[in-house]
Amino acid sequence: MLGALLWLGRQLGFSGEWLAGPDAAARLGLIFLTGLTVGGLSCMAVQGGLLASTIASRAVTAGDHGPGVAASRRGTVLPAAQFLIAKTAAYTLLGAVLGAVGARIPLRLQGWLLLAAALFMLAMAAQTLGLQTLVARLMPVAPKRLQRYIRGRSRRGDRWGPAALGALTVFLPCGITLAMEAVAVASGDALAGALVMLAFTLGTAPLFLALGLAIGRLGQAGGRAFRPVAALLMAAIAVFTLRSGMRLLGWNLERGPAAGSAVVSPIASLQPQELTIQAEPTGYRPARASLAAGRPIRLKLVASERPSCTNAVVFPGLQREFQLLPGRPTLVDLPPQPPGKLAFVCGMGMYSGAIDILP
Amino acid sequence: MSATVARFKVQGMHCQSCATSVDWEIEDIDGVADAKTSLAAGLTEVSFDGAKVKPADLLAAIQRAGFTAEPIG
Repeated sequence: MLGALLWLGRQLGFSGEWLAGPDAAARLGLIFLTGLTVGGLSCMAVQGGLLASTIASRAVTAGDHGPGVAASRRGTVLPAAQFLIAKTAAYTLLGAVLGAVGARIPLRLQGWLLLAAALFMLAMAAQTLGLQTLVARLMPVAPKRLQRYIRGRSRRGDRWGPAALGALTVFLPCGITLAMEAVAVASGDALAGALVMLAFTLGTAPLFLALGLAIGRLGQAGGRAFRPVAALLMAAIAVFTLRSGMRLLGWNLERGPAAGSAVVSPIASLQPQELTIQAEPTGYRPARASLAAGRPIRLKLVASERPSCTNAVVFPGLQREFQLLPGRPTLVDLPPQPPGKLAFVCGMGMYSGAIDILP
Repeated sequence: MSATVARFKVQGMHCQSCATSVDWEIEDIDGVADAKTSLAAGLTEVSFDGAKVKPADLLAAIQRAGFTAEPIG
């Protein structure tokens, strides 16, 4: 299923690193697992009650017209399926909106956004383990009136009630859902945001279907057993996100020996030394190079043919960023640099490189 | 109805969904006018008809929602 999601995203021309990167499946897998374990249980706290209530109401309504329907599997599975399809569609749409919002955030602020999302997820992980954090004060609460409307709707037993309820659950997110919404914003792409929320909501689906089939409801007590797992999964996603944010802000970039594959042409002392950096779907070539200090630099940045976040190059130390266009190299002239390291990173902070400026 | 207000310290809530589920479970009781649960404070405040509802009913409702509670104030 994750493979299908990745394929779908790529066919749709996804441009963010969430699908372009080699660890995209791992990221979506983590999100799916989060949904499958505590995401589902946590959502069940309120949403499961709504679903159970609407199934019961429909059973009563069906019972008014004759026996049989309420007791049938169809009488419970159909509302559950309706609820889940509408819920999945609503959250996927919400993810697209959140991703699109993230995409509009200026590149320099995206690093801070990623850090904020990571910290929020870590706080949520702590909260899931029962530790009170400041994040509890920041949790949005649906207005009481809306809550009562949704609850009342679940008891009407009308034909499209489960679908309406499923869609309305976007207003009743659990904490883990909020953390995933933060990931969707931080993905910085509408399609990526949509896929993040789709993977999460699909992960929560089995438990809701189980409820629909009346297999049972684990409830809060069952949920508690899974909380350490959820906290661990959220922490893992937070670490991914944190690393991206730090890279984008130019902090703690990888160190290592220069690759030595750079095309350096030290022609004359006043002539700029040139370096060509090729953006690729999953990184830069070379990712490490060296140039001499005290001489002007001309960088030739070549865009990846495939859509990728590497086509946005940020030099945090210089506070400059470049959007590369396929088929047209971007030339960047820099004044002589002092000895040290000139780091660069993709627009999402996923892929990085550095130029060693040698004395 | 004679409005009575009771407050409870609730333990085990980790997100807003938990707080909402506590409110809904309490508001299902006939005679309860309103329940407001704060996740940040870990508190539930309930307005109810003292002639119809007893604090023990409210505690039982919180337990049904999956949390432990104790009356305060």
